[in-house]
Amino acid sequence: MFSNFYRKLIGYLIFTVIALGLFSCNDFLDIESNRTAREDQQWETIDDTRAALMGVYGLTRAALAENNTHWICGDVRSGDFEVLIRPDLKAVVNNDLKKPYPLLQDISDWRRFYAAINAASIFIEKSPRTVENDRSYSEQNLKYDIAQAKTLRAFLYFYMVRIWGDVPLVTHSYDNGEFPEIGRTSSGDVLTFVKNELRSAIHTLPFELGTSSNQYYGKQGSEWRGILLNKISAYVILAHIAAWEGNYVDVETYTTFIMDNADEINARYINIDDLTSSTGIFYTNSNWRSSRLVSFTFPFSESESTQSGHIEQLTLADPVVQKSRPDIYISKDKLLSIFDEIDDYRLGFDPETGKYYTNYIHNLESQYPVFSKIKVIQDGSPRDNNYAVFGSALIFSRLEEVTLLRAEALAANNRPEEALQYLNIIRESRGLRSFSFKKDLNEERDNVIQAVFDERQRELMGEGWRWWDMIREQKLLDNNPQMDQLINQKGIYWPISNKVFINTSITQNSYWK
Amino acid sequence: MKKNIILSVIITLLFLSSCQNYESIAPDTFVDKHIYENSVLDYLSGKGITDPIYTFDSMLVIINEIPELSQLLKQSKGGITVFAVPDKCFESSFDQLNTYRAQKDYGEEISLQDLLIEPFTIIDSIFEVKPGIEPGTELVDTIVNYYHYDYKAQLDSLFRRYIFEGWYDSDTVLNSDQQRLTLESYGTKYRMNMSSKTLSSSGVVDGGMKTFVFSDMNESQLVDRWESTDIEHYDIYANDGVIHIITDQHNFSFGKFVNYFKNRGNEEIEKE
Repeated sequence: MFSNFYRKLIGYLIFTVIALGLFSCNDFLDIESNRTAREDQQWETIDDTRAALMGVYGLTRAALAENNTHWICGDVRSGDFEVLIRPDLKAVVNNDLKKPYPLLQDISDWRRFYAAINAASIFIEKSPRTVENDRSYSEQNLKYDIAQAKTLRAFLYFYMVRIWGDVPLVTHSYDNGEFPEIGRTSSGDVLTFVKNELRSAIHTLPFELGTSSNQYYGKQGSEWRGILLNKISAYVILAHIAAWEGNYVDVETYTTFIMDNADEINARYINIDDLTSSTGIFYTNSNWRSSRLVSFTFPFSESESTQSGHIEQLTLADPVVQKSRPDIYISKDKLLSIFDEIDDYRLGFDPETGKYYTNYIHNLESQYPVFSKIKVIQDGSPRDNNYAVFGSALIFSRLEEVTLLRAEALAANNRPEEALQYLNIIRESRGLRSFSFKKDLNEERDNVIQAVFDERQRELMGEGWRWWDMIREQKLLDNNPQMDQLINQKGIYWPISNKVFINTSITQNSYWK
Repeated sequence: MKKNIILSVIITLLFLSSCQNYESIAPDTFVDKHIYENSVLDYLSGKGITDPIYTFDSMLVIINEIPELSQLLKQSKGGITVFAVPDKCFESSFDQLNTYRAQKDYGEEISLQDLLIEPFTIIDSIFEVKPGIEPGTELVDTIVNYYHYDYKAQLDSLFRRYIFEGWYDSDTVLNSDQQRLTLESYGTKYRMNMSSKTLSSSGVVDGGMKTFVFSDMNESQLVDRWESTDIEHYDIYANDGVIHIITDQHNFSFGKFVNYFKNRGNEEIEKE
């Protein structure tokens, strides 16, 4: 059908196409893009170090707050809160942590912690370069920054040890293209490393970052309070590591130092109104910010407020925000058994009006009471509650928490009457009467310890402590056989996410196999 | 030509017969009304109900003790609306009262029977001795104070706040102005407020469940001062009235119980 000419033409065409297909380019484009920031361009000026340091803080905040980790591990898992509908939260309450819900898988994935640790390690290794390159970045500035990075790294490791037990210890930045498979180090060794880091950091970190004559990154010390870490923050972390290990002698030493030096950073005891107000201690720029000893903030003014990453996402509902039912709530019976004294400002009964105080709970008499202790919507003073992003800070510790920890340590060290003195400080500030060692507690040390933990349950409700307190309570009092079994079988830890097992030298936690 | 005609006819027929339109997104959901064949009083007594979830014995005790109420419930003419208070609510109120009394040393535990006593008066005479004008004569001034206690009437007034004359079901409230209704309770001028709202669901406004909230206005128009409680089951139509069952998380009397009755048993002491 086709003439000879056509055949030839087609033949040549096919030949050309095949020939072209066989040859390919080998050269990649070898012109450097001038739009990406390269490694050797970093660490030139003080702005680079500031960005890097704040980046470490940001990554730490994300590791703790993403998917509401801090509160799910600390409060929801303890069983104080009941879950209305969500099956993934119910699995947490039932300690069924291997169920294939995305929330549980995301929380079990520790890589977000290692991202922050890596950022801190890079900072520690690379920032000295900036001292040579930029004269406005002083040696002292460098020392403060490295101390903060070390403290953050240490804090992250401590947090991970609490959640997973044995974790890989990575102390270099590994930004050199290697991907070595690092196995798990025992928690004892990790904590030893952490403690050494912190002990060196507390000598360098000041109480206040920046003075009026010598500003820190352009701001005075009072502007960094409650936002960045200081010497007291490092002591707080050390105190909690000691408590986790059961070393109550050290806990007492550290908490004494903190309480004796609280004035240096203007940390004070807070009354119930400012604790639970929308512009109180949980609000970033509040007057009480310096009472936040270790905290990570979400300022609305910097557009850093989010929905997830705050307990309010789970607990708030009508009338506080426009949501008909809360995700988690504490039942009325449980509340009345926890807050068993009528005078308690947190959830007591005001006999003049006949109403329960609404500091902690709204709508006590509805089917699902709303836990409204923490309620910083937007910047705390929103025009309407329709745009429900939350600006509350994640407070790891405040002065009341340290006071109760000191009471716990004193009681554990067989000095119950001194312990009672500190417990009563907190009790009185919340409207309760002081306990007498003879009349109320039968002169028994164990009763004092129990009273301290009960007060912790009330004071620190919703701040991510209850589960960890329950573990320490069991270790001290041995009164909870279920928790005892969990501790022995290592069920208190979380399972490790499957995504981590690309690293073949890591195996699953024994309880979750 | 013929083929074309047949083809066009078939196509036209196909176009004419179209499919039925589906109804709009949210068809009217018809919820069966909960109808109870006997009277309100029978419902509270649990007559004819197998497996009752709630019991209302405390309500019955109070109704029996107060003749006006039992008469209203036996023969009401315009229908009545009753917010039924489960026994658990009374228990929580008494628990709260007794805990308060225990922690503040007001006395022993009290129960419902302690409050349903007949009114009584405590007479307190105070003798004041005044020196007279001349020595040896003294004037004695006698002041007699009468302290009148009527716990039954107080309980009655608290109880009446849950009973209204008329038929008020959730639809009536839903259709009223601003979906709120303020009513005076039976026999008193004390006002209570009902409000009902249909929540939205799956993107359909008013397509979700109904909420029904019953509030004590505390004599104020400010919503902040109100005490509210949820209604768990609403619209139970009996012969002579509508019943709404309050959630068992409610404390009977909307927070006034402790204030009213904390001094029960201390009347003799109080006069001093």
